[in-house]
Amino acid sequence: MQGSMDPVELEILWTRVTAMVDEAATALVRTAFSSIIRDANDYACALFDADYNLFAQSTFGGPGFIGSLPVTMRKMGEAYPPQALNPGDVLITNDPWICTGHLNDIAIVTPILHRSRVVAYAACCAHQADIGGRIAVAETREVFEEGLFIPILKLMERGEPNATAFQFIRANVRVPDYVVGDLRAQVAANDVMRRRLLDLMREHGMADIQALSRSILDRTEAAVRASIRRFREGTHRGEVSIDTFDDQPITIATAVTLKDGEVHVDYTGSTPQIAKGVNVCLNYTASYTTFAVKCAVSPLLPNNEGVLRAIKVSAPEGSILNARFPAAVNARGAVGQFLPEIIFGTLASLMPQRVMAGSGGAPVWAQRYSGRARNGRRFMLTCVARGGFGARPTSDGVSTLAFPSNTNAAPVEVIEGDAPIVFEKKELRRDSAGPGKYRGGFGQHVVIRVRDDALPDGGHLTASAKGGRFHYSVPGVLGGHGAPKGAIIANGERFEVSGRQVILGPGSRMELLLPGGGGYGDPLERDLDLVRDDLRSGLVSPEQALSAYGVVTDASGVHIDVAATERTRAQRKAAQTPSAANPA
Amino acid sequence: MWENGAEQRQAMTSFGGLYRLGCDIGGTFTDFYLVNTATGEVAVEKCLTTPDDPSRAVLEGVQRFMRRIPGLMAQTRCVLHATTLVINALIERKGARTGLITTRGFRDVLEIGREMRYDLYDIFIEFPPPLVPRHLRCEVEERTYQDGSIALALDATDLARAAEQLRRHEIESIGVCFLHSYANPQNERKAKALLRDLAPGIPVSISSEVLPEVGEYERTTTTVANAYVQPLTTRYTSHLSAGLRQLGFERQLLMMLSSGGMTSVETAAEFPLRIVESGPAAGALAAAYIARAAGYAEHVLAFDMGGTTAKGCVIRDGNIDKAASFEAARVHRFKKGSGIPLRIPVIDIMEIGAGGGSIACVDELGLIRVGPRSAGAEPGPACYARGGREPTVSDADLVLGYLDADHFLGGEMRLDLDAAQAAIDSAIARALSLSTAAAAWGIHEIVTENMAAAIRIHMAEKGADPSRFTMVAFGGAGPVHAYALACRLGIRRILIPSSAGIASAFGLLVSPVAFDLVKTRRVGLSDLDPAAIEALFIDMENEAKRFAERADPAGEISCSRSLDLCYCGQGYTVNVPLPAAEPRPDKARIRALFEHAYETLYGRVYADMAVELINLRLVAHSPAPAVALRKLESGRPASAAMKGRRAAYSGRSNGFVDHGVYDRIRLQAGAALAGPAIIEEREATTIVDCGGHVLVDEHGTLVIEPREA
Repeated sequence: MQGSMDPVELEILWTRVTAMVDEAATALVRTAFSSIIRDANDYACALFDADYNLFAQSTFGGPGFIGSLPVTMRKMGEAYPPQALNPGDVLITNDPWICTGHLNDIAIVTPILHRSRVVAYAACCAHQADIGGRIAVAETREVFEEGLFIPILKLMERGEPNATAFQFIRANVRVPDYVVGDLRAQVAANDVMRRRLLDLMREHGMADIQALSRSILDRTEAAVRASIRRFREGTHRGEVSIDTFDDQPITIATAVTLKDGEVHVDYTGSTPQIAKGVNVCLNYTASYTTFAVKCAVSPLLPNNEGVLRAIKVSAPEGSILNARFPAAVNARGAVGQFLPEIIFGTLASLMPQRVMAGSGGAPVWAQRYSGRARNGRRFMLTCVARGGFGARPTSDGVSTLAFPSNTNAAPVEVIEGDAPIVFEKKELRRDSAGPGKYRGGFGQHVVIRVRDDALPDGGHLTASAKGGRFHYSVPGVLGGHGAPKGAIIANGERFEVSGRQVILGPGSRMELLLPGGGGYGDPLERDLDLVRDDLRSGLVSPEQALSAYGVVTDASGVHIDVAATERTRAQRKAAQTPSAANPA
Repeated sequence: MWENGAEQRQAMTSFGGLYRLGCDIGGTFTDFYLVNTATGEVAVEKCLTTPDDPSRAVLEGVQRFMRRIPGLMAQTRCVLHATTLVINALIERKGARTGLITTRGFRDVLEIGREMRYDLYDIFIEFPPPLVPRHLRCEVEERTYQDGSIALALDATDLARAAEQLRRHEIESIGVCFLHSYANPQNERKAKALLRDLAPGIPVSISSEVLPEVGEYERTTTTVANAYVQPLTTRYTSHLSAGLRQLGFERQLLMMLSSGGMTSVETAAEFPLRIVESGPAAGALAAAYIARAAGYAEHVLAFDMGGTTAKGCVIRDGNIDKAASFEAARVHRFKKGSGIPLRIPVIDIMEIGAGGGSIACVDELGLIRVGPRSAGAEPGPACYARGGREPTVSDADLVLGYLDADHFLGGEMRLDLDAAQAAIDSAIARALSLSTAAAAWGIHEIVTENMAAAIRIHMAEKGADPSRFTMVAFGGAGPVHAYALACRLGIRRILIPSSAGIASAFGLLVSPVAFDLVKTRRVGLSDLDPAAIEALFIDMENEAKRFAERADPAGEISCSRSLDLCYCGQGYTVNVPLPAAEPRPDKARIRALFEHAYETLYGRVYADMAVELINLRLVAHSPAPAVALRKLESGRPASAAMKGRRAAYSGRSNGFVDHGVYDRIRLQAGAALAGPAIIEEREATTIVDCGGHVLVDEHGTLVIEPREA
């Protein structure tokens, strides 16, 4: 079970291979043109052994690749087995059912040959700046509308670029220089891993890396299973609605089973796939599910095939979480990113110390502004903002923090240089956190105005905005309350659905009200010092302090009347029905 | 104590040259280095740091020198100082009660942050609470646009209201950060002028002076941190200056900047944040100097390993790599991203939690993990016998025979071998069924690999190939680990300076006066107006020279210019120095310089891509002081300095072998010896494995060539 390698040697080699994938990732991020790779961390670099086992993955990067990379690798291997590969070959595909569930992510795989034998594979998957098709909206009805579909093929053959493939790609995307630049960056990142792994093998006189890979996988699997075994075996079920499309609610049904040191998550009973670009391929479902389970049971372990061996994911074919080709899948995050909070909610009573409440950061809130400025230049700007992080078992959620995706905020000072818009405010939103013994992080309130003087006379710009939680609030756990809903208001009109497009003229405004995170535990148990801090900061109003926390303040609205508070809390506790009481 | 024995003490007291005195306050010790610039002779001292009032240790050390050299203060040209004062204030949150004034709608910039997690899986992730809580953050009506145009002039009534609110909360320092003030500082300057009357006696830091660089979050954290540490830095420096005056020192006290230059006390008090990394900067300067003196200046890796962290820094042709930002006071598992981002010019240091005090444990994978947790100075490693029970790197080094239990710190502190063995046995050896020695070797190997991995990545990011580099190793634990680390990195030459344990203090003596400035001017290369850029550079030159001349009124100040450039669409800029011979290159030349730098870093260029200018950078500096180190006597073979033999672990032999033990102070120039060897001095022990060769150069530096792998 413990593998064949001695622990000191293994730790040293493991540190080395982790450093390799991280070095490749750094090289990729620094040279990427796609801000989605750079600021949204939407990429992964990884190493596979000769049997296609994932043994090292870059520590940073999005959760979307966690369960999908091994599938990508195996499918590539089926198409091009070792005997079909030569030094200098590089494989490519963006098939959503093989990669990460939408066409924007392109996977690049480079075989690593040592003494004319394939000993390992370097892989890099990254979100491109553009892939053609309709721009990132959920309005698509089939994958064919969503851009260029690249089947598995050789992008490079014996070191020579496949000119035909590059021509096809260039001809199908809006920013060919950026896309080709990023493909080259991906190929270069794989080459970093290839060179470093061969250096390591030479230094340590290794003929292959199977023993190393096996040791890494076995130890990781054993640790994950041991961690899972600490919890009671059994099946936990949940069912929640997350959003509505065309007035139809999307419902996710979950059954999480712990047995024999394994976790099996099954989504039977979830809504069938729909004719909108929010369907999820099983790979992406597996990624976000594995991510959530790993966060709960083994957050500090590096990700590799050993983790995946202990966490199984299934969803019925044709459901929204296992869509069949040619379903539209472009905006699969609009559904898939809810899975972590659904898993946490399902596991909350089993492992109350390991889960958090829902986060206002899911799904991603993004707006796009495009048009032509007064000086004649075209602009196209994507602007992302995040809600609050869910409350945790021992602390409040962090305000305005990405989850489960992980994106960096571009500074307002940079954004205002990229498009003729100005921010009137970007501040924490009062009373936006879900109350609880620990409250969620706060969401934010953003107001953006189109500059009066920066568009040509009579000009306007096109804006689209997506967000979420318009219909269902961010959930709390274990007695914690949900966070107030989100809203997008453009030109004074409130959006009923996410992803709408509007025309904005000079002086018109886009207003975003992002939800905070959900609460954890009964708000009546919240420490008065913490409530006092929130009153002093002004982020919790005296009204919310009273209604949610049972805290009575004096006329100043800042000082707590402790005696009155204790009376109020006692009365409310007594009135709590058993079902509303804190089950923890 | 004197570097080279009693003879020199005699010699040094009898001349009348001018002295430079360097003093570096560290976590545990305050180190002193004195050089006579006429003869090149040096002397060192070491005092326990006095955290309640760090100047006490400084004055104590100076007095020790004074007792040895009559009339020293009158002959001392300058006292050069590096201190952990600022970083400690940030870590321990001991700064001033600070208020912040921002543009209306933006008081939460400090708390909204980058909105990104630094750890993907950890739901218990934490961020440092803002240095200014929300109720001390005030908004005022004012607005500047990205192009520098003022959309709304500062509302003075609003500012008065904000000042009144802050006054009611008894704040001691104020930061002001308005949107786009880097493009036009007018509203901020007006606020500063008005606050002089609205908040008399309260220091004000405005962001356009602290850091005129685009990016409101980092500019705010930096401005606020500057305001936060300003009162205590001002107090400290005036206190120290007064103390030195009382000792008869009338000349200049200079402070080390994080970017590796000296500055005046006045400038340090105005921009205290700039001295936050003064100690590490001094270490890098020492390494650069030592490598040059030994004739290996071209490719240098400074490696400093102390009690809690190890640092690496790349120096090429005497130029220390610099970075534009630094993260202080990390709050969660020592993770990058969990601290306060500070945008200041700083030497580009790789730092990881690996030091003598790093704690080893067995993790959930059944593997040995070393650091980043540290036993610190209290309770310290188990072998300090001060209550530490967990095994540390120093415990492993003792068990492996590298440290001598009886001669640690020159015998001032006895180490407890039994306690070290017991700690390793109970935490590691038993759990993994290893012998004590094998477990200790495992700890040593793993901490060395942790450092190697971090340095490898750091160097790769800079396009630096370790096999071409000379490592200069120092710090208390550096020389113990240098040999094994060099072998792992493929480095072929190691230099260990004399008094390697306190080399940072030496760096203070050889540092030029300098001051760095940055200014954001975001413009596409095709739209760039060279005359406008030239005008900006001239402004920056005048400003930087003013700061430099404060510290070196008589010096010949020169300026170096550089540009931060990127391909349009890429987020990472490349700093491109403008050659001194051509300070005003045209657009085509700028592009060529950028492409050359980009290719060096990333191995490719994009001929069709537009290039964008982001920042202008400028450094004003005086020539580095000429300090000619005194040469060592030569002639005696190494065997004359041998003081015995002891068994220590050899990685090459996979077991304990007999090592020759040498007294470093008795090694003369030209002495040569071969590993396995242990070379001991008071502050550091150097380990050389089987096959390694050591030559003592004319300045006493050990030049070690590891055996080819």
